[in-house]
Amino acid sequence: MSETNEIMVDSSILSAYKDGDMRARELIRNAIDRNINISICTVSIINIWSMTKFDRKSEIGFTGIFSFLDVIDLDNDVAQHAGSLLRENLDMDSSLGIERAVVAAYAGLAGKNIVTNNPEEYARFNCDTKNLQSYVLSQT
Amino acid sequence: MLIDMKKELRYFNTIDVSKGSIMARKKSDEPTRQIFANIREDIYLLVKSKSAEDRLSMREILEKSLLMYLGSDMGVIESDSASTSSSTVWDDEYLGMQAGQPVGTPIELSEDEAKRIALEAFL
Repeated sequence: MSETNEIMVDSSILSAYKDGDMRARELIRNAIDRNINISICTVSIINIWSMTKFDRKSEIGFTGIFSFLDVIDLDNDVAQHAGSLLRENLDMDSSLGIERAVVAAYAGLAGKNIVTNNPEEYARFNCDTKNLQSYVLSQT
Repeated sequence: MLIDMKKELRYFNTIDVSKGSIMARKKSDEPTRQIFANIREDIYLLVKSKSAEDRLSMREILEKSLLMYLGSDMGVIESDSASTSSSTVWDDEYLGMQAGQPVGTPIELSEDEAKRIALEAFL
């Protein structure tokens, strides 16, 4: 499995999947078929579970999806790295800002690319980020 | 091997524990008939194993097999496939029951259930 097949996604990708985005569906389908390895951090799960339209079927649906993703626990190294990123960007002190800092921290430490629908939000963290559309097109 | 098909059909029409979950039962209001048959044991055991793996009841497998034998009766086959395609993941007895539970209720999914949920839950 090449490096481009080892990626992290954030809650924007899972939210798009829930909303029926075809590229998000293709990405998750590839993870289910074990063609790519997708990681997701626990802070992204907080933001998914806190969505206003979240219900029992959403919970079961995402639980099924997580069976095919690597769920990354927030450990000490990632927390410290994410905290440093947030300290330098205090205007991002929101649940989404914290998620992006944690995703950027983990991706930086683990050497993974981030696939998101909001790459511009990661620009200040100097990490490798790909837009969902361009990533899916590059895989075909 | 003498098989009591009535007993088997009743068994497969109720519940079957497979990887910690309840086998799906296809709801049908259509009239039914009971059948009794002695079949080869090796075939029976293979079908029973595959029915658990595929989460299909023995009744469904028999109906599909008989429909394939009848091949020329396309009207019946098309009717059957149409009803299958209109079903959703929430029509599964276990998953449908789980969907009615409050958020936060623990759920265990077999790999097949997780895959089906992942692919179909948000369609």
